[in-house]
Amino acid sequence: MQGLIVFILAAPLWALSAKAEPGCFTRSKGVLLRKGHGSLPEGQDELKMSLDLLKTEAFYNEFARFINAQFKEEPGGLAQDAPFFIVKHVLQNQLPWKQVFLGPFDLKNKSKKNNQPKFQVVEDEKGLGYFKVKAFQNLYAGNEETGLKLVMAYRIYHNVVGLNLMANNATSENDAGLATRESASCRGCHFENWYALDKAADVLSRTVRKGNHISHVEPPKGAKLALGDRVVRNQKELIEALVASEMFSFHACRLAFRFVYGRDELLCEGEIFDRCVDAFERQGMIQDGLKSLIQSPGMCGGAP
Amino acid sequence: MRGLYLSLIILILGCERNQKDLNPSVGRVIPTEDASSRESREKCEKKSGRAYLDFDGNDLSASRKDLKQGYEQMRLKPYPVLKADLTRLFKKLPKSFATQGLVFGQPERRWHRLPEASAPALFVIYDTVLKSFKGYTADTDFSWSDKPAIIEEQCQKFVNQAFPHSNGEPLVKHCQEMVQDKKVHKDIETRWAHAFATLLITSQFLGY
Repeated sequence: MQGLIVFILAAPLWALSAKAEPGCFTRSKGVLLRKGHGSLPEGQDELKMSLDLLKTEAFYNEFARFINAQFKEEPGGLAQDAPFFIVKHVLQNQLPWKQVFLGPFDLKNKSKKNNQPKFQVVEDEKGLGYFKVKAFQNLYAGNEETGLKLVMAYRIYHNVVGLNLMANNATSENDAGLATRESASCRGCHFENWYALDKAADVLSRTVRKGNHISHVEPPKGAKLALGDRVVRNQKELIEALVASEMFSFHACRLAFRFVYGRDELLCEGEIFDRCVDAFERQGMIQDGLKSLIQSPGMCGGAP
Repeated sequence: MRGLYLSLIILILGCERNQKDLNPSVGRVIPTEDASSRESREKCEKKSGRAYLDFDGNDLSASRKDLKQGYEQMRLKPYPVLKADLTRLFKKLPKSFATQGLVFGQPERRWHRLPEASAPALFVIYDTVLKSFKGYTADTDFSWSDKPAIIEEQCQKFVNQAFPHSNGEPLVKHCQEMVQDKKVHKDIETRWAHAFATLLITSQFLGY
């Protein structure tokens, strides 16, 4: 009961208001489903209709497309679009957002021979969200001479907690070898900051190339990395450490904000953003974060 | 002539989602603002929110832009939404519109891209309205009368249909002016088509 009272007191007035801003449903449908409608809703609860969109296949599809475009550099490659399939699966099954990165999943081609490939998400206890899908691993296998997966290490940081780094290509002859990475202009990102890419890549599997064939082998025994207050020994522990950090919720809501508004949040939208984080952290569901944004001023909750 | 009007309208496109008034002299005068008002408009009035720290104690929210909410609130309608809106108004669109998705930034399968309102995209909408206009007049009890009261009534009706959530008054006024201005074109049917087309390349129609 006490919890209920605190919740009611904490809930913003606009979120409790039954009357949504005019055009709320039109805007929500365009944003969440990328669709318009033939006739406009009249005399209906537009806020409720908008929130109901979050439970539709069209939304799962659209949000999975959005996340795929955030988590990969460019379109293309059916199996390489593993984030699309895994995100859609997580949304359809009402799973927490962290399962996108940690869930025991893999992709299997279920089509018959010579037919168009048709991928489905299957359970796989060795899975790690979309990161362990072979085509995605191969896409970010990198070309480091020792098989160190620097690009996968960056992809993990970028996708799970939103780290953004610019590659420094100004070094001599664009040599990305160890000596260059240890040079003054590169060692910050590769060896010194919390996200030091060489250190993170050290706990990931190694790429082995034989002709056109790529395989992935376990890292050397004893590899470890200190991250926050944890010691990380493999890819799963690395992702778990990131998911447990404040950065994870922040990035989940930044993605939600980017999906709803097409941009990152502004300095004066901190309160709206905080409500998204609070909603997201209750059960770890990104749909809850999106719901708070749909209810916020600027979408359905009245003028800001 | 069509090109001239298109250029003029593009110049005055505003982006404020909550903009209450469209400049009634739309297409003729470009509003200006001095440096001080521009500065105050661009800054955030009330900075808010908690800090979120990375493992090194850096605040992730430090990357937020210090811009006042305004036109940043607006989103452009994606191609399927524009298609649905135009179909709602004109019932039938020219076949050519069905293949114009790329002009509006329509993404590949399993991909996402922000909608675009480039000059070619605006031209496609303008041209689509001109080609679809006859369908609108055929399906409604449209009058070609040049009586101001009838022109106003028909402009009002179209504005209500196209802009159900906007302040329609300046839009209606703009529509009336264009239909009555014989410098636009000597033929009233063409003037009506241009009046509707110019309304539908405004930010109120292209965004939400």
